[in-house]
Amino acid sequence: MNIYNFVLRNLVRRKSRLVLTLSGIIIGVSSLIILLLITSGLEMEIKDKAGNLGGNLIVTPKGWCAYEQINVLLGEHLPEQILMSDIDKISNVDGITNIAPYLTESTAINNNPITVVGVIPDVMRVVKKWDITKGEFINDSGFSAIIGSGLVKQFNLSVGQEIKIRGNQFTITGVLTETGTQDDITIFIPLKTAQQVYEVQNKVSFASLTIDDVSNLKLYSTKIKDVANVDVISDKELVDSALSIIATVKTTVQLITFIAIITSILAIMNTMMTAVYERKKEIGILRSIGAKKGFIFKAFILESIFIGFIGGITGIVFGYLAAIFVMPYLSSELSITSSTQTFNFLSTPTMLGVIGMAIIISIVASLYPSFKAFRLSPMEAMNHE
Amino acid sequence: MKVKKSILVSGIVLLITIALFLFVTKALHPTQGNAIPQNVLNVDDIALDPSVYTGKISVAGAVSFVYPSQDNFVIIDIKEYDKCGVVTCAINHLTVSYQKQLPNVKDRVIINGELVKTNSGYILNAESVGVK
Repeated sequence: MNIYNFVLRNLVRRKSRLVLTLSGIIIGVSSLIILLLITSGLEMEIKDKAGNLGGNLIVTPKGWCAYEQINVLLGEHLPEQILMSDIDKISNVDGITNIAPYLTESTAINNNPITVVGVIPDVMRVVKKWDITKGEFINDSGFSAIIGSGLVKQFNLSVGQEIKIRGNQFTITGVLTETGTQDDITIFIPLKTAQQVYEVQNKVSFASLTIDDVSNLKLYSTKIKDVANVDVISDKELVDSALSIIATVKTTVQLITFIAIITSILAIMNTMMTAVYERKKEIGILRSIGAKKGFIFKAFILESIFIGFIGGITGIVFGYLAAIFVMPYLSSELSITSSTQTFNFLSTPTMLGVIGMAIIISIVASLYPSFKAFRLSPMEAMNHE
Repeated sequence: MKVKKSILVSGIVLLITIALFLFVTKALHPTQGNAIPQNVLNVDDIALDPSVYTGKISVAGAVSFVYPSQDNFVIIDIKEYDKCGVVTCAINHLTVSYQKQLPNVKDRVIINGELVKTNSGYILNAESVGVK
């Protein structure tokens, strides 16, 4: 008898049971996919944002908590608490190659809140390697602005057009080349003008700085704290701080995944045990007409591989569908990513690994039932009622 | 009979999946189901540049003070409220003028109305106030 026909016939014979068994493994795999998407998607976005700060060290006001530090990554409005005199002192510390102060504020276009950032244009050209697709850079002062390419698309803006910020008309002088970061949806104006318009003379929200020796971050951090009344955090620490906020989420999903996997193992084991019990007579007949013990064992293992494979693939699909709904909640509720955050697709090896894991779980769960079937003698099996 | 049973089982599986989704969503939802719908502004969004918000807008906030004699109340940013847990910690406030039933302090509200400039700054003239 063909082993594959034997397996398939058994699977389709009890459709309801097969669906229930599959559901266990589907839920387990779906949870795992959500977990992987959360981990990879959010971590990648947070790291991208940190890389976009254009510095090795971030100067923040003293006493900022993790949420405020994350707002640095998001480019959202932050309190203006660092004195320009402190920025000047920091820029005189030996080994600091560039310091970019930021004043992050907010305005709106067509009632949509937009971040406005006051910057020193020449510094930004160096630290962020900015490039302009249309128009030209802003000067150190004056009522001119450069905007991200995303704003051009969203609000149909163009160079030469005017935008209103706090009652002042600003002329758009240039459009930044698309970066895929928060910069694409930000308005940049000269720092001095921003301080004047938002009435925060001589203060900035935070600053990023580059140093000549990145292996000595702690030394520079101490030097800066010695000369100015500020806190200093490295870009890596900033990322860790952001990731610590999603740690709770990760733990919750890990727990769900763990429970779902245990449940699916028990579900598969139960199904296979029932199958062995129900098919004792059939096993007895097969054995008496010459089927070897190995054939019976292989048939049950093959059945579990099939369950694992189908459950794995379906679980991945369900996981992605669930992630489409879950990820926006992460963006808006955890306030750690931009509202445009989308998840990244998992790599092929990762997905193959998930399917492999589903198959292995099925095999492990089927080992004991398969072994029971393997040990059945033809006589014992035939006598079963 | 078998078909009916399969439909029943599929329904159960669907329910399990929906329950899982809701559970995961809830688990990822640290602010007790207080998500602000899209297109609703926060107080902090408006506070820095209220002059650019024109026409009908929707604003979400947590009520920090209520003045029944003046038919108005004050709201703060919901994120600020969630962070510090009290309504007295926020930097930015928005006064809302409303002629009907005023909400209570600490209520989370979504207000539909229009920003108008007065001698004492901008206030939100509310047409409707929904308590979440």
